[in-house]
Formats: sequence, C-alpha cells, structure tokens
Amino acid sequence: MDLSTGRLSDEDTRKYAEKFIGGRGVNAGIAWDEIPPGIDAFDPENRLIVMTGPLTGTAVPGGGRIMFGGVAPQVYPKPRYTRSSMGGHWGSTLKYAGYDGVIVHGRSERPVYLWINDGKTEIMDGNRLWGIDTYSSQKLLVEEHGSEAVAITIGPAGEHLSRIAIIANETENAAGQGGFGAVMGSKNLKAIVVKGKGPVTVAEPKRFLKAYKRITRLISHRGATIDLCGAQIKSLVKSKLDLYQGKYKQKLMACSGCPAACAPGLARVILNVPGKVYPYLNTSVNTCVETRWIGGTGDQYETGKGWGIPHPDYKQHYPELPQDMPVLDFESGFECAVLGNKYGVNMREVTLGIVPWLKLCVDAGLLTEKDLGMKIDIGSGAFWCEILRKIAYRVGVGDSLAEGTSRAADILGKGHKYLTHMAHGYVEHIVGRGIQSALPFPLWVTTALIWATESRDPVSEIHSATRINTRRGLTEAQARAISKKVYGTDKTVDPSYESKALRAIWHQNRGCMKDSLVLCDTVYPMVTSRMTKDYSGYTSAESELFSCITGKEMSEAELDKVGERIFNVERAIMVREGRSKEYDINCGVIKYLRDRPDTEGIKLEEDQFIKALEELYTLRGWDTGMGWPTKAKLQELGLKDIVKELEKLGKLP
Amino acid sequence: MSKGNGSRRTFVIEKVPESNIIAVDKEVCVGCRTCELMCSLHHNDKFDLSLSRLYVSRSPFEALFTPEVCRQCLAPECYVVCPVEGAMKIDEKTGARLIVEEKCVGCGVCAQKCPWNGENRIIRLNTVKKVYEKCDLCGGAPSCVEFCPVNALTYVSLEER
Repeated sequence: MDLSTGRLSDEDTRKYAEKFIGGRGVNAGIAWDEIPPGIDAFDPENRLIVMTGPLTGTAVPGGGRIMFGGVAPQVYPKPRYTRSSMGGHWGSTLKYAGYDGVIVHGRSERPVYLWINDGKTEIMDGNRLWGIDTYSSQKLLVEEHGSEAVAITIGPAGEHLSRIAIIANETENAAGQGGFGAVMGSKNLKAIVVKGKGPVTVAEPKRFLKAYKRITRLISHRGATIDLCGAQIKSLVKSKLDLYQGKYKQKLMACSGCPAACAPGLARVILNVPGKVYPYLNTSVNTCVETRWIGGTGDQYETGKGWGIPHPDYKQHYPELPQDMPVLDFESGFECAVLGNKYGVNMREVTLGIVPWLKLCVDAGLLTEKDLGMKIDIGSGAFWCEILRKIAYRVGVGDSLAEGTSRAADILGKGHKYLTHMAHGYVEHIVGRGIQSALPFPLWVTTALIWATESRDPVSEIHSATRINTRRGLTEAQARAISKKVYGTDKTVDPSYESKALRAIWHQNRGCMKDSLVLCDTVYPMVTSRMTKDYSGYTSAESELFSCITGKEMSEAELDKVGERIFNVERAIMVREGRSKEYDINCGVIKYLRDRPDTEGIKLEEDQFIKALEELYTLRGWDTGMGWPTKAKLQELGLKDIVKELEKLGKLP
Repeated sequence: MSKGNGSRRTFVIEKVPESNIIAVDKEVCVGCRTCELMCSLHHNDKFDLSLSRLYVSRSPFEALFTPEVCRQCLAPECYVVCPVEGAMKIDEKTGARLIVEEKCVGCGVCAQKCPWNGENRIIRLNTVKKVYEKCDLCGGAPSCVEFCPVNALTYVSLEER
C-alpha cells in the first residue's frame, strides 16, 4: 500500500516464502529489497511490514502472533531496521481475510486508516479517529465495521511521533518495542482494520492433532492448558481468591487459537478497577511489564516475591538504586498501566526505563520541579499519570522523554549513569541483572552474546536460551543431558565462556525460524518441559507442526537452516547500515555487564567475552575481523542478491 | 424420499427424547476460539471459522467471552419446523438434534426458527454443499469440549442434566 499515491497493489508472498517461510524471515527479505539503506524511520520511503506465517490462523499452541518490521525509531543512537511482534487476534483475522501481510509505504496527506474486508482493501478517511486513544478508536472502528472486525491502532503517542509509541490491539496486545506506532503516525495511518472468514488448510489433520496433544501436555504446567489446570483456572475465576484484596474480578484472556493463555501468573484480566485520577472503571490485562508499577502480577504481587521493582535481589544488586523505588497502590498502578496503553506508550520502556531513571535523577538533584514543570511526588499515581500525559502529547519534559530514555538523557544532558538501557536504546533484559537478577552465570553470557549481535532487545531468543537453568529444578546431570541432546555438547553448562557462542547461535537460528512461522516464545522452542521426568522438551515441535500443516516435509535441521539464512539476511541489512564487530563490542553490552556484578558477584570478563564473540563469528562462517558474513557463507545459504550488493559496497570478506 | 410442501408437519413434542448437551461457563472462557477451530477441523478437516458450528462472541474491552453453542433444546424448533421428511433426526446415542446431510434441501427454515441463532452461526449454511449444518455433538465426544483449554465447555450427559 502506497499512502503517498493511495495506490493499493497485491504482491505474491510465495516469492519470499520459499526462502524465508513467513513473518520475520519474509520481513527481512522485503526489507533488504525495498528499504533504502540508511534512511530515517520517519522517511516516507520507510516500510511498515506486517507479516503472518504459515501457522497463523490455526489452532497451534502459541500461534496467535504476528511480526512487524521496518526502520525503528526507538533504536539508539540511530534508527535501524528491526522487528517487533504482537499477540492477540489481529494476525489470524488478517489471514482469514485472505492476506499474508501488509506492506505500508509513503505518507498520506491526511489521517487515514486501512480497511481489509475478506480480500477487499480500501483506504478510509481517518480524520475523526485522529487524537483518540487506542481503546476508544478500536471500539469506534469495531462499531462501524461489525463485531467480527479486529483493529490495530495507534494512540496520541504514535500521532506525536514518540519514539516509544506502540501499535495496539485490544487492551494490551502491542507491537511495543521499536516505536513502530510512530512509524504509523509518520505515515498518517491511524489504524488497520481486518475482517474475514476464509479458511486455513491443514495437510494432515490427524498428524496435527497428535502433535497438538503432545505439545499441550508438555506445556500444561504453564497455565490454562487442558484438564490439568482447568480446575485451577475455574477456582481463580470463581473465587477471586484473595488476590488484589479479593476486591476485583479476574479472568484470563488468550491469543487466537492458543491454549496457553500465558501463565495465570504472567497475565491476568482484572475487571472494573476504579481509577484514582480519572473517574473510570478500567478493565485490562495486567501483564509482566505493566505490573512493574505495583511490583508484580498475581501471586508475585501478593507474596512480594515477583521479579518486580521491589524484588529483594533487585535492591541488593543495585546498591546505587534507592531502596524506595516507586511502588504504587494497586488501583493507581493499574490506572497508570491502562492509561499508558490508551495513550499508546511502550510500558516496558516506561516502567523499566523512565521510572527508575526519573526517580534516580530526582534523588540526585539532577531533575527539579522546575525541570519537570510539576510537583514531584514519586509515590503517587497522579504524578505518573501526568508524566504519561506529558510523554504522549510531548508537553514540557515529556517532549524529551517521548524520545526514549537514552535520547532524553542526551537532550537534557544528564543522568547517563542512571540509565537501565544496555544497548540499542533498549532496557536490559534477561542478562542476570536488574529484575532478572536470578539468572546465574554462565547463562547470561549466552544472552549477552545474542544481545551483542542483534538489532534490538532479542527477547524472542533469550527467553528460551535460559531454560536449561539449574535454578529451575533441574539437577546438573539433567542439565548436561539436555544440553548434549539439544546443542550436541554439555560444555554449555560449564561455568566458563566456552561453547556459549554455540548455544547463542542455536537460539538465534531457532528464534528466526520460530518468529517466521510465527510462534510465541513463551512456548517455543521447547528445550525443556516440567512435565517430563528428565525435563526434556520437544525441540522438533516446530518442524512437526510446519510439516503437517503445510504438507511440505521439513526436518528440524532444515528449518534451522532457514533460520540461519534469515539471521544472515538480518545481519546483511545491519552490515549495509554500517554495522561491524566494532559496534558489537561497543554497543553497550560489555560495558553494562562489566560494571555491574550478578547476584554471585561475577562480572563480565571483557577479554573472554570478545573471544566468545569471535567464536560466534567463526562458527557462523563470518569474518572474525569485521563480524561480517563471508561470501562463501552467503552463497551456501543461496543469498545471491545479497552477495552481489555487498560485493559492490566492498563489504564482502 | 418425500419432500415436504413447506407446511408444518404434525408433531408431538413430548415424543422428542432429551439430549446430552454442551454446557457453557462464560466466566471461565478465555476467548481463544480453539473450540471453533477444532470444530471446523473435526468436521471439515481445515481451520475455517465460517464452518464452525459454535462461536465465541468476544468483547475484549469488557473481558467478556461468550461461547454460543447449540442448546439441543427440549422442544427443538429446528426439528419441529423442518419441512423435509427425514432431514432432521434425533441421534439415538447422544440425543443430538441432527441435520441429515443427504436429505437437507438447504431451505434454512431451521436456521430461521432457532431462537438462539441470532447471528446465524449455530445453524448455518455450508455454501459449498448447499446444506445447513449444526452441532451433532461429534457422536458423543465433542471436539470443542475435548480441546477447550480451560474447561469452559463441558459435555453433560442425560443422567447428569
């Protein structure tokens, strides 16, 4: 869809699907072909690419997600191509409407939205929706197009080109990281509404059901899955338990066709919570991210043992942080979370980036009431509601904060040492520090390697990369056995930097493949399972599902090879944008982890880490001097176009 | 095969045996639509919401998810009004009110008269086969119930009703 000319055209996805499956892979392929290198995120030539995968729209557990790609404004110091993913029902409905994906480029003169109805597409006038929050605009669109329609929209934050603006679906599904909401905003595109009832075929239904049953059995410890936990959910919903003082009704909400429904401890719908600042009854899902305001979700909130801001480890290992991080009362915290969703602000960046940073800057006297233009009361919901409003509408200090915390520190010229941002303009995540400080060495070496070679907070890969964790009930012998089975060596368990690159590569390739199918990282890859005696998982689940649904037989190894191809395309995009080994080393990962010890007092050893990084390049068949994919590797992966262009740029060792 | 003339057949309601049913607990439903997908997979070997014989009405902003299923009514309007001899029957094993595919002429009176079929998605037309379709309780082991991840749907036998 070209918004500059209003021209709509259909493109055959098979051109890319052969090589890249779908989702993240096809996005990368299209980005290589279409996005001019080095352009800004708000350039009309930037693409917003939204793509489903071959498993979208089916009943595959964890198959309710969709991938977004494009040059992302949040990436620091310079916007770069990256991706973001979203759950809910929008992706499957797009598939039912007859489309695998949407590519948006250009810029509309006036606010518009896109209306996709069972194979027909129309650009509609979006004037009356402009300025309206994400919940209300979705409700208006569903009212107009019927209850079966599903919309993604942006809020005021996206309209005001905040670099931390989300694309929202329903109450809390969001393409959050990357700031793609602002990309939509820059194109004057308020929403994409889809409706459809087309079929998704299955080549071998019986085989699918067999795989389905095996998967749901293996994940049944996680939540709402078949029988085992059904009774538990019922009691949760019926009795209200004593959570949240027993005051509010709770439920669970699931993405399309997913029996996992996140874990009840991870995401819960809480109904009709009265706002303290704005007099509304709010109903929303409270997820792991938003509940940082109140210190955790569900049981974590009750017991105080969550990995939230008041987590004891967090205080212990951030001695420089004040002991009284803002923890709001439940109603205020819930209101802030809902408000952030409605404004369309990235709550991860807010609760884990802006909140601690602002608090520390205020405590250190770097930011005063005059700077903020308001009375400072860190422990009150009203204060944070006002900060959120300032961010969404770029009022006063909000104008800087809307650029993301890393850029805000640059603009205001202060507070750099209080940033929780590790690299690429993203808050640290699963590296054994901060709220995930329970992660022991050497697991965080693997995740750090993934961070250093990625374009964003690589959450979809690092979730699973930490599953073989002896702190999660496995004995060391079990961990070694699983490691040997999955990675071919048990050295990944050794407390050293050896073979950590091997593990990083396995999860990167797998992550690319999984995000292309498109599957959810809370379920896949199933490296371990708590439902088996030896904790072993089901790593061929993805290939089994792909084969029985598409009818195209692909082994685990073949799919991993596709994952490798996709990772190399993404790396080639980065190389074309100027990425090299130097950037990987200096992106912030090493500095962040070298300066902050983990819970056992272990810091990152720079020399050994760089050696591990070089090992990663070698194992990938990349040049160890520059960190670039070699000609031989790209040819092996069948990426002829990329070979040609990189050769022309002189970036092909 | 005798085809009806559209007039209401004489019929004694007391003679319709009761049926097993699918009971719905909408408070528990998470709105994943697995039931719909598995229904179409069971009956049509593909995922197709337009062919599912039940549906989940979703209001995500109120966190309201309501599975709408065939009630297998005690006094089944669909069964009573069907103008075609033998196009509807009562399943001997489960008591389900069934549409007999070979005999259905696709007139749609059953769908019209069903008091629960407001959105035409409990009894609905299969546009390819040109016949109406409805829940048949999968012959006693309903797929939707089997795969509902949260037991929002339960299969209730005659004795338990």
